[in-house]
Amino acid sequence: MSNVTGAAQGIATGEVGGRHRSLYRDAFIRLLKGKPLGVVGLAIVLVFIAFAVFAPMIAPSDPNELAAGPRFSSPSFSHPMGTDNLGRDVFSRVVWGARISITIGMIAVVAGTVIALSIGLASGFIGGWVDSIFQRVVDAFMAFPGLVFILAVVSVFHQYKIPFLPATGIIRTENIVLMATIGTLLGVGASRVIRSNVLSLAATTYVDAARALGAGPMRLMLVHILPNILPLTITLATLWLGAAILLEATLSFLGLGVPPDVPTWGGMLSREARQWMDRAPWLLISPGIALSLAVFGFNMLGDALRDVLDPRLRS
Amino acid sequence: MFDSNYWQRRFGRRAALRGAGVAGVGIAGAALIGCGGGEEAAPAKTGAAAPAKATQVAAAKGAGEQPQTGGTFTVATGAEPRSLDPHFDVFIPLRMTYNTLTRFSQDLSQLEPELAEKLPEVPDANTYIFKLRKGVKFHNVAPANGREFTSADVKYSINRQITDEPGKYQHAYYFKDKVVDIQTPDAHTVIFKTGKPFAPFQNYVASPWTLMVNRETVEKHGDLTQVAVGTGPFVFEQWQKEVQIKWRKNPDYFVPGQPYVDNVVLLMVKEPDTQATMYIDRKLDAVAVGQSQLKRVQDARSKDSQYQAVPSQFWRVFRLMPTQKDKPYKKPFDDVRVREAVVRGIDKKAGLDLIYNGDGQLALGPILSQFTNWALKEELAGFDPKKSADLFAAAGKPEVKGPMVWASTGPEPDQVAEVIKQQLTKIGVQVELKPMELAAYYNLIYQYDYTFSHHVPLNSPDPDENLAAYFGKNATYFKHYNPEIFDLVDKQAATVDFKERQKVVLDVQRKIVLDFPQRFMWTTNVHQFLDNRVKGWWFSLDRYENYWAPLWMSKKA
Repeated sequence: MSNVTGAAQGIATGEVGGRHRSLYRDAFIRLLKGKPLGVVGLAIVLVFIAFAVFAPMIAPSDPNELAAGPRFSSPSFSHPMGTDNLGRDVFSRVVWGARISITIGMIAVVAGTVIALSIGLASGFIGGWVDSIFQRVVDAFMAFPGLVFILAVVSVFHQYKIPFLPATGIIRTENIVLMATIGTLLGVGASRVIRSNVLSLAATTYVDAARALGAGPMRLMLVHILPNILPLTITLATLWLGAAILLEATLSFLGLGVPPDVPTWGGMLSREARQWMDRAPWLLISPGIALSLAVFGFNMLGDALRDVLDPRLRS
Repeated sequence: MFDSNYWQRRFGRRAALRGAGVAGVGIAGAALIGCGGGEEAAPAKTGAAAPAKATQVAAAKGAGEQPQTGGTFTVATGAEPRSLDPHFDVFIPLRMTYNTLTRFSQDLSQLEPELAEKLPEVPDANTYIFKLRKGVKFHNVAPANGREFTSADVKYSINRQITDEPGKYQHAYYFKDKVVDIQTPDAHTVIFKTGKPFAPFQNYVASPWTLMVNRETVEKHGDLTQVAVGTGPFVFEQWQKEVQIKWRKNPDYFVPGQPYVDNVVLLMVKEPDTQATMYIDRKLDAVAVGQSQLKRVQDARSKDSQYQAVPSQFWRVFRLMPTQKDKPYKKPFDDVRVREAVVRGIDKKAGLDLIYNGDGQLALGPILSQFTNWALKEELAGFDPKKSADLFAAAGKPEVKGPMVWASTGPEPDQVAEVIKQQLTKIGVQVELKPMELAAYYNLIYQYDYTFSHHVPLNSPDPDENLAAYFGKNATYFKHYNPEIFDLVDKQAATVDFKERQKVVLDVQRKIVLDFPQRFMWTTNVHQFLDNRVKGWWFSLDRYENYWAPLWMSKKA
């Protein structure tokens, strides 16, 4: 048994030539040494995560403070990204915008990952009618335009309130609906990738051997297959983060995102930038660059992770 | 070529009138004027504006030019109408299709006959006799099929508008419980009897919501939500939702030779920026824009446009919860000190300055300052955060919080909400922002069940409309239960003498302001551009004299 499970674990832990080094640590070192764009992506992501976590310390003023400076003040030392028509500090709003964008993106991606893994594992491993039912549902879902799906769900649930949630702050009904919808959209679509990976892993000899040794379906799925699709999942999740941030910005731009008193990059583009871009182009440029950089960072990191985590691409 | 004289004329006129207001941004083209169509008659004063300077100015008419026929006139509106029913609260130019018995002059100071031959005879304080024009026909489309318009249609139209159904026809209060009898002794005579003297009666008959509809069309379709058949200069042709509404010329219009243009198109363009771009690209013949689009349009089109800036009659209020007899204020708003504290915590001047660059006028009460005869002149509820704090303390420092709803139709309403929230947060009031889609918002507020909202009502030339419709006992747009105010509102409506009525109107406004049901905020200026080729037409003062028949398009570029 130890040989069989050792072989199975070998894929996940990167046991090479007698050295027992974590696959993830190994991948991280390869990322630092061989993927400069990935490192840049990682740095950008870390900066934005720092913005999100330490926003109250980094932002020079409250992002909603009216008349924090003169109206339409161009970028200066006191207001590095200028001020908007309400005299609010744009840099503070961009920093706080990172918090909502990254929080919504991350929670949506976690939700999407859970959905993708659940459907992909059940569908690929159990097979038969379970697979057929799941895949027809996924087919139907993928035939529906994603943005239309999100708009429909958010529009319908926008007026409802989850009773135990606070009325203000990030974890409020509107944001939960937004995160769940984006997560569902990403997760259902990605479950097909997970499923095909599960199908190929389920046919490997180490799984057959584990089954022969008496491992039940749950153990096979959770102990022998799941760890081996995690690298792929991490890669996908990193790429989804960029997509989730863009979707949140799109919805905020369309007026269906978070309420206007929560600064978001999409909301900034939708309101003050769209209204005053002629007079104050920094209102467009600042959140636009932040949005682009964040998506760029997550995508670069995701690409690099795919390269270092996928054994077929390691060479 | 830029017409500097025209600019001077427009501004000169505005200065003289001290601004009588116009339709708001987002309903560009919703309300339009012309140089009056047809017969002249002895005017009657409405009491709406400063009458001494109320001279008629023909709008954009190209002096000395002979009107030319043909062409299509295209404007845009920012909001999809909820209905085409003229008795419903819709903000699109239905005067193209329908007429009223009488109408307001351009400056709102006088009444003129339209479907009536002349202004009504008033043999006593409770009787109005209208003689109708002969030969007026409904549009030649089924089921009206061009039949003659008669006194029975007047009776039907007025009775249709009088309803007890909440939220159905928001102008039911015009005649409900006031007109006790409508007699039609012959096909061209209508006699209205009021139960007691009713000062606003003639202004309400001229209102753009007292349009004459066709009974057969209502009976065939059940309502007028999707169809429009009237006696107006243009025949309704098509409503493509979210795209456009089209009208074509009515060849049987009762003013000979009019209308001049073949078609009118009202495009649905939600974004003011897009409307501005379309005007710059010459895809619209007229546009009304706000501050944020002004410079762009001026830079691109000032040389071949006519322009004016006027305060809108669509204005901004912050509302606390509506109340009714069986639905009084919830705690802590039942304490007037709490309401006063909330109202005094909102700095409306800062809001106007921040959001609109100060481009507008502050409101002091329920009647806007452009209605000089009726508006309050003093600020009774000024911004005073210290007083707010004191009032909260005196009221026992209650927890004041609640959601605020509004129609999120663009960046500006959202920013109004943000500013109000920030200002109220400073005095300890917690506001949760709940932006809503326009139709959903209207459906909610007509259930009169919300904590806070900020809203864009329409101010009208007769004071009763700004008082009874919001603070009277049969109010439809808002509910504020206060029998003392109800009595004063009724009193001003029953006071026919102008001076006496003016005093009561001011008294009731003071009473309303000091009961703190709302923060009366501001009205903003609307910047209107009209292509130089357009003649005989201008954006209206509000929706009150949007006369389309004299509109014509010059073929000269």
